[in-house]
Amino acid sequence: MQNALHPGQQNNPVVKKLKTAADKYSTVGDEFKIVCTTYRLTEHYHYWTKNNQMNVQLIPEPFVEIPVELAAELGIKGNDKVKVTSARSYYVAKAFVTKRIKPMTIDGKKIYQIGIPIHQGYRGIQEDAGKDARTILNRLTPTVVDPNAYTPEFKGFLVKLEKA
Amino acid sequence: MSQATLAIRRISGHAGPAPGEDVERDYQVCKLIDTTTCIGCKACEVACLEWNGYSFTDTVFDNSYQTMPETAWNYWNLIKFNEHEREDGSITLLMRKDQCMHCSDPGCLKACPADGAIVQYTNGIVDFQQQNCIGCGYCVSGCPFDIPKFNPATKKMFKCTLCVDRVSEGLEPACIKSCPTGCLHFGSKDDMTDLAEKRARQLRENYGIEKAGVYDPAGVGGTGVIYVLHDVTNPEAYGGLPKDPHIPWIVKFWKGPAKWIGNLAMLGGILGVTLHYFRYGPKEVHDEQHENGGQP
Repeated sequence: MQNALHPGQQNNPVVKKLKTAADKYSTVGDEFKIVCTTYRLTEHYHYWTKNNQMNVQLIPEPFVEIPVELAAELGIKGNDKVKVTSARSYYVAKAFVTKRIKPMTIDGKKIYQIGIPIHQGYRGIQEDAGKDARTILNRLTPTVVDPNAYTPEFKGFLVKLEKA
Repeated sequence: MSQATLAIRRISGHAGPAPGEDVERDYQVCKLIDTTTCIGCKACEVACLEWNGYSFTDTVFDNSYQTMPETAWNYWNLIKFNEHEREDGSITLLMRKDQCMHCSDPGCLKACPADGAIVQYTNGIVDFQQQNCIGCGYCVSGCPFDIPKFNPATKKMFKCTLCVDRVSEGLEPACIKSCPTGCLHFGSKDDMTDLAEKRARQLRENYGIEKAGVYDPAGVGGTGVIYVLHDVTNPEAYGGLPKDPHIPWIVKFWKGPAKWIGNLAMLGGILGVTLHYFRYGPKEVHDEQHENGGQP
């Protein structure tokens, strides 16, 4: 969407774009067209509860919440293994097809959003038993902060989605 | 919370019987579950496991936040999630705590053939006594809520006990103690019904949720566990809560009239055989049959 106040300047000009090999940023119009966000669940607490049997019983596996419309478009059914790729890395988990996320209409275009809980990683009860893909969500997110207040902006980024 | 009530024997300076002296108060316990304030955190699921000493189960993700498809012999209460689409197209995530309803007219008790395997206490709690259970599974056919579950290792049936061990000591059940939002309430049936009606009225009048109401099915004589639902006309949306639960007629027939028909049939048979003997005598065997080695 065009910046109405300053056409031609889409991003904050003083934002620091890191230049290490891991920091790649996607550009407008490339293959990453789905908005992704990350959040936490009630049943888990950050990363240590994947080592606790009680929490793992309540939510055993990592999943990606996908709107029904997007799942229908890509031919994904619930429980299918999906791969989420951003400019930086990828994440593999099961699909949770839900009616609770609706597609958005931005600037006349239909934009989809998917949501991923953060709690699983590469070590844990399920991970050590080989029951999930052992990918971490942090590999997907960009390292961008507001140049003035240093507020992190890791939670909104672009990805593409496909069956794994 | 004391379950003892004071009963009057005599009062002074009064002609005739003292008011209320012959009233017998049966203290019925009741658990109120307010689905409108439940956040689906599953603290009640864990509290139940911890209090009853069950270890954790290996679960699998199945396109839902629900921990498992239904309750199990070692998992007595379960939050059932349903992404319900209302008539106007909006989506709501309905969460309901599923466990034994402790019916006043329990179908499991009616169907059970084992002496003393299912006990209903005066306070309304329906409890399984596993030492008397024969593992036949008839309780499953009697229950309209599909609650009793079989343990294949010990061959006994299990379900929620409404923490009878805690309640009999004056404590509230484990699930109620653990609920962080306070959507679970425990007390006497009268108090909980009153609270539920108040909440339902608040939802209807202050929040415009017109179909809010209390789920306390009369088909099983009322239950020891009652719900406040946003839409009491559609309980099936809450993870399959039956709209009009009652004991299946076949169980009522089999444990009622069928027994008398059976008795009659047996008595009639014995009577018939005796009368036939007196009238016609024993079976006559003719000479030819003897010669042919007993063949007619």
